[in-house]
Amino acid sequence: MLQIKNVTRFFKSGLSEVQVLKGINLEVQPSQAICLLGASGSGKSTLLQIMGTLDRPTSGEVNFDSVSLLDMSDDELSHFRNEKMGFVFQFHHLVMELTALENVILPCLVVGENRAEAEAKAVHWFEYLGISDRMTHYPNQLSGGELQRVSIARSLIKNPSILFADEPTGNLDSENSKKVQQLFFQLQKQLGLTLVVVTHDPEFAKQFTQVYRVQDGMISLESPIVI
Amino acid sequence: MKPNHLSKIKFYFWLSIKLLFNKKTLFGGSGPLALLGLILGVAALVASQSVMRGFQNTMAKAVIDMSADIQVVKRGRLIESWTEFQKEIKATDPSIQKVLRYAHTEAVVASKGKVSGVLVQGLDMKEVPGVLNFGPRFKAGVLPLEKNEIVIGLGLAKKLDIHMQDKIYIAVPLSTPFESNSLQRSAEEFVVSGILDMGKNDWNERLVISHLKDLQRLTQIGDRYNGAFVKIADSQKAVEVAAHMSQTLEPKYYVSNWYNLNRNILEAASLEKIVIFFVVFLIVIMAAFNISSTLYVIIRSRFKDIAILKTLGFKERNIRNIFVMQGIAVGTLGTFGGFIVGLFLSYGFMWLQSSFGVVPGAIYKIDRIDIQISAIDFLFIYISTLGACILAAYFPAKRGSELLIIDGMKQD
Repeated sequence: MLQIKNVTRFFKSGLSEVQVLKGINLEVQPSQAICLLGASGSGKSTLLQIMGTLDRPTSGEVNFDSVSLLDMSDDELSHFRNEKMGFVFQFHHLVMELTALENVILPCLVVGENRAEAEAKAVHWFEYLGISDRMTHYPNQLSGGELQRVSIARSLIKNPSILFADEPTGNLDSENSKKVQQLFFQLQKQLGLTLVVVTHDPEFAKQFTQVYRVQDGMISLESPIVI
Repeated sequence: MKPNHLSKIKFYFWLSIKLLFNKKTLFGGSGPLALLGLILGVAALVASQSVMRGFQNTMAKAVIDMSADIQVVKRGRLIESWTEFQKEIKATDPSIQKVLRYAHTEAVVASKGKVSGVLVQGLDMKEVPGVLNFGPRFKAGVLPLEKNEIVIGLGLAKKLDIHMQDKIYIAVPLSTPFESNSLQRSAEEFVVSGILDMGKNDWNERLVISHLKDLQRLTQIGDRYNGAFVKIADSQKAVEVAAHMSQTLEPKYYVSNWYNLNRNILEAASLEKIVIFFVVFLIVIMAAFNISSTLYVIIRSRFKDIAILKTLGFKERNIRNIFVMQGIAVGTLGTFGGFIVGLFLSYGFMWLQSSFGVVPGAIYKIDRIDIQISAIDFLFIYISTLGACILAAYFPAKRGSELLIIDGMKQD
């Protein structure tokens, strides 16, 4: 279970400080899919980054299965991210010099896994995501939807417990957007994955059973969603 | 090394090469210029070190070829019994392979109306092979010499305009036993049957080789001789063997070796080689600064990639290792590129000296340097360059590795 308690986050803006998160409390149970909905600048991405250990709160606690993630060293946290967490962003953020397959196996290779075994796992995900004919293509040879699928494959290759997605459909056309949305729910159901999705798209949000609205640094449960 | 560690090193190397060798990084922006600077610096190092080592070796080879590894003379007197003397020398050290007796005298050479002072060295022709190495130094003619045949150096041949089969006169001044203030002259006609490049400038102009019997007759010393050249198994051990011989032989014998004969110039060359290395290495250090600034730019342009790699579980040291590995790759590329350019420079120097005689023999004792590319020099240059490049890469790599994920994600 991922739990955050009384999390605040201040950012410096010139001489003053801006409070982006104002004492957030949230629990995400295993295999649960939650959506953080909010307007641009509401603090939803900052909240996801803190939940995903990509950023540290100014104050508060972040625990995973009762273990404090904020007390971990850089090495421990990197290992934890590699083993337990997957990330998908609005932009694919693939390394342009590597093929799709090479991008996907990076999380395995960095911990010294055998390359052939890593490639075998990657092939499974390419097939699962329907892009097995794109493995040897470079990112600049792929469409927006394909790029996002490759980044999803990369986030899943280590079989994470929890998948964070920050505006995963924000850069896609409506057709590809729908396909990727379906994919996330398919993954959550088939793999029992915990899913935390940030979006400002109410259409996407209404498919979740649990939606939290983030507004002015505060969070409130809003389920079922009102458009 | 554990297989896991080996896989990681292979991975670092693979990823660093993938991120380095593309238009965005090494082959774009200031990358090619930084690499070129390193190549030129290493080339200057390779060329200077190969010329300096060539100088040392050319000098050493000339001395060993012409006067063997060790020389033994009897202080102030001539040696009488060859059998006994040879036995005494060979008993001093097991590494002694062969001994050659010789006699020498100051003389005057006259040819075509010109005269020149020379040192005539008479050698026991049967024993020369295996002790002295004239073979590759002959520009014309061969050994052994017959009666009244003589070999001269290139410099003397040029100075007196002497050619093969020319007849020259050699006159030796002899003191008379009863009149201390008068000299007798002993002169004979010799045929030039060989011209040698003796390696050292002063030898080429002054040294003349004759048959031992001819010199003994000319100087009227009977069967006596001045000393012996000694060949040992390993020329590099001549100093130790000579010291051992000196302790073992009676004090009336003086023992010298090829290194002592040119100690000053060889030691000066060794020191110059080290000084030149450090001076030229400054160019490599300057190039390393360039590489460092180029890597800073490369790493700055990769902030977003670094942030993403960190989200995938890359640790700070993983990121640092990848970019330090780039320093190693650039250092290796620069060293090998520099080595090739350095070879061209060295051979350019060879061409210059053969075409224009750029080495003044009167100053350096030799007028030609055979450059030598030594594996040890190359290894030393490689390790030094690599060290500079690793240091150059370390600080930008450290900066990149410490990047906060959220800062990297903000980069456009």
